[in-house]
Amino acid sequence: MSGISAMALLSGAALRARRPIGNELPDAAVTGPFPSIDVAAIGLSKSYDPNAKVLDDISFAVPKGEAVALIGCNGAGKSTLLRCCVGLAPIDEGSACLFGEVLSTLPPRRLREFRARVGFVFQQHNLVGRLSVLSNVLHGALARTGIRGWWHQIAASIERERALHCLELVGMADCAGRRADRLSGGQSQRVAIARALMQEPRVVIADEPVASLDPKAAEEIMTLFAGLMEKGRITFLFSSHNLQHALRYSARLLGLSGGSLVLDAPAKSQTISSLREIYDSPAADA
Amino acid sequence: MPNSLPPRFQLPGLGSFFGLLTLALLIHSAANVGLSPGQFIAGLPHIGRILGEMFPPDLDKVHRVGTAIAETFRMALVGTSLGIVLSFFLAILASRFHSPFPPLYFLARMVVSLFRTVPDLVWALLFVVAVGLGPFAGTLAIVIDTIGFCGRFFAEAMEEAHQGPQEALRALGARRADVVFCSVVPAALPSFINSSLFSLEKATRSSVILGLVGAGGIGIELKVAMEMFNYSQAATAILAIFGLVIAVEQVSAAIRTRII
Repeated sequence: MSGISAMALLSGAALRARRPIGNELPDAAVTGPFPSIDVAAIGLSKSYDPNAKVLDDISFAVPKGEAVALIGCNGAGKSTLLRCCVGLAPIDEGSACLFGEVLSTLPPRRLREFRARVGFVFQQHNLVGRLSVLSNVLHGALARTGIRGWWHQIAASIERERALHCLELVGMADCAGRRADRLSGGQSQRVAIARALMQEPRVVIADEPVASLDPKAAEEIMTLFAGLMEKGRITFLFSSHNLQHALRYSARLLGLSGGSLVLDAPAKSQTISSLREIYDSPAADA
Repeated sequence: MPNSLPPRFQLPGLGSFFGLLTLALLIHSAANVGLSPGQFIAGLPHIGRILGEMFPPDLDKVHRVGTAIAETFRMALVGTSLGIVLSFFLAILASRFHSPFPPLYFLARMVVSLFRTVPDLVWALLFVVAVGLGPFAGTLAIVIDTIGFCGRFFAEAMEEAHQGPQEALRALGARRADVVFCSVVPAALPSFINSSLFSLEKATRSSVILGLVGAGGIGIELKVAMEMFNYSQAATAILAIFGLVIAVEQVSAAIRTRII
């Protein structure tokens, strides 16, 4: 995609923003030429195998403060796309942008600064099992605390207090001293969210955050995300197989099928039966 | 296609060929190391005589043996501890996923391989020439030997650490050092402790041998006693060595069970 059309895409997305501006967190360090666009992909393609593209010419933009759900069947490329969005997976063609800047042009230090403002919640939570819950949450502040954020025993009192507050927000304060590998799946996911909150994020990206949870815990986690969005005006991009969650907790839907973006529409315009077509399309079986 | 009987004999495959080659090498080696059951049986009375002369052990020199065994343990402890610390930093460079630059990775791997492949006795001989007789030379040899042992196992433990938490830390803007100390080290800690304890046991046994080339410790006492045919005094040294090795192994096993 050319530079002009990329700019048009980013500008257009900015106009569509439902809740522009208003993030109260200091974000001067991560403001690019398109400050109202938090996450974007421009003609993004990616393949693990030279003969099969996992992602093919994906373009979208998520304006500041918007909640976007990414849906698609297994192997459609959802996780890869989310990982590309923060530079965790290299891109073959096109670009991924954070806060209006193309990630591939950023020097490593600046990329770390950008990532520090993106809370990434993984499906398998990815906590450090042998460390305490409090230490895991403190890791969310590593970009600003450095060495003192490695373990809670050496962390500054103010950061410890902040980490405990994040745990309170997710209802896990009473588990602060417990080892992370002694937690249940739901508890671990809550701690992973607390770690993301500790980053004071402008954007939260969640890769199937409730896939491994029972329906009750899944509902609690999604409600938690929705509450956090209301409070912090955080941009929220999440992938899910749960179509009800996608419709209820997002303002806009992106649909992936066979590595291509086949849907980019307001959530209000969609129904569960219309979304099911994405799973039934021939590309989904490819 | 009509059914047919398989041939009675087939040309050996590559696996069978190497198996036969190994067997031939084994037979050739056995023939050249002078394996002689007759000679062994003839030597049994001598072994019995030496064992007879060893008992009762000479307790007059027990203080001297005690001092030497304490020195042996100190060499093992200090050498292993220094080696473990140096191994840790070298292992970061020698770990495929955590080394900052590919040339450093290859260099670190080469250093660890060199330290591991050259026997500790050779290092001890080198250090005796370099820094003189005594426990310092032995301690340096143990440091090098520990780096060769722990450096490899530490690096492998780091490479095997679960990638998920590391990716999570990278995603939130952590630096390479943050990822290593916050995620890799906690995950690899049981393996670090295990390798370190094995290393201490190995160093304790090594430090006995190192004394034979003048690198301090009880080895020199044992050597002198054997060369002077003073087998009862040698028995005291051997019992002290046995006690030290067993004690270190027991303590090491207890720590391993408790921590891991």
